[in-house]
Amino acid sequence: MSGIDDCLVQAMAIPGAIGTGLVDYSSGFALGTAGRAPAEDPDGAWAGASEVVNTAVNRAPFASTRPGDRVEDIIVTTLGGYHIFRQVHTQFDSRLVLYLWLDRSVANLAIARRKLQLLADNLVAASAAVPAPASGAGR
Amino acid sequence: MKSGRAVLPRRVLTQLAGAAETGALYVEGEPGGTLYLAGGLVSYAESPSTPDAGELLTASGRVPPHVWHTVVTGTSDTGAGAQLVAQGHLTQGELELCVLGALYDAAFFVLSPTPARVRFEPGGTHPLGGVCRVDPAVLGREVTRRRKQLDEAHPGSAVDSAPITPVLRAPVPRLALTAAQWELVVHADGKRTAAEIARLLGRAGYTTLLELRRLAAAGLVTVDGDDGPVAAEPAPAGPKTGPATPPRKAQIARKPASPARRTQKNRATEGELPQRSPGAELPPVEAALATEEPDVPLLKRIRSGLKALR
Repeated sequence: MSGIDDCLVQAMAIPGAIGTGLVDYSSGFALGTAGRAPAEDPDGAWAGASEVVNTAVNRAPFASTRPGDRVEDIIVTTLGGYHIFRQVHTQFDSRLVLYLWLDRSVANLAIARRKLQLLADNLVAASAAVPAPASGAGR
Repeated sequence: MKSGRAVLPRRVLTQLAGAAETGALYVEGEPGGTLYLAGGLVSYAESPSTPDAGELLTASGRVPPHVWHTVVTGTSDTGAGAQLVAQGHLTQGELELCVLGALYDAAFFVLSPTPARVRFEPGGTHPLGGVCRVDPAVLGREVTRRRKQLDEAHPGSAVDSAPITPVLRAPVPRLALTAAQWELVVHADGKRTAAEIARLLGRAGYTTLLELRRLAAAGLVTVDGDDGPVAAEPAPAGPKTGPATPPRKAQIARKPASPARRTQKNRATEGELPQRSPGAELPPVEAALATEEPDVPLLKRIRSGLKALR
């Protein structure tokens, strides 16, 4: 059981974390943030993050190869950092991603991704809210 | 505090925030709604134009309606939200996300830029209880940003309040809709307004408006009334934009505003050219379907002609 702020504090505790935010990608608005935003431009960062997620979720047919498939996370790597966008699925209507910006020289991408997944799942009790995620069961 | 004359709801909110007031600010008018303040910060908002937190939770099946009814009408000191978490119906995260989402969503409609009559009831609270606190200045900025975003999607505001009708014949040969847009098209029946569709589906009112404006820009939904031709007309404009490039999945979403802008320009320049009224637009489609049987012999001749060219 953890709220938004708690979730963001824990995301900042992931090794290499520089900044994090919980972003509504339909409007490009951050419901909560912690740490720094890329380019010290929070508004631009959240609007840009929303465009990236919208493109992956709505415009590019990445998740259309089999029924029930969907975008889980989007990872952008740069020379200096990793940016992970994790979709947060609530049963009620929402369009949310948990975003994490990592320092590449410190962070481990696989571990960070796994930890972000757990944080996003804990935030909304995803095991109960998501119907039949075969990969999520038994872990 | 009560205002007999119409004032800007946002200005009143700023005053109440400055005085660190606690209570309920009722805003009359279309669509109006209520903002709840606690110590000058906004703790909740609701509006008839958008589902409230309870509707979001029950429409989606996340919380059974009888559970919601019980906690909202209960007499606990902690508020309905905290009770739902304590009883294990929701996680704290879900509660906060749902309430924050509903708050920003409703505030968009309550803090409309038109003056309205307002009434402030000191001490008034919502049964949900204090789940979150939002700085009114932050809220105001976000509302302004969303309004701008809406106009960028499609400048015509007719779809915001009038009954929505899907067009019977698509203006382009190939369509790509998102799941959310499909849901809206299916539920637009010429009687329901954007607000009614949003509450029927338990979907956020602002997102519903945004998607409907995108659909209107693409010429896929229309409304009766003065703005109708803007949405109904892209049929002639479609062939210019559509098949010029190969039809792609992203086409509709990427170029939402262009057909509408062109249409508006046409309307301005063409002046007195005869125009079908939006009401007259629809029946001929059925008539066309009934009378225009495909000319099979002609099509066959064209096909054999094309084959001969290979």
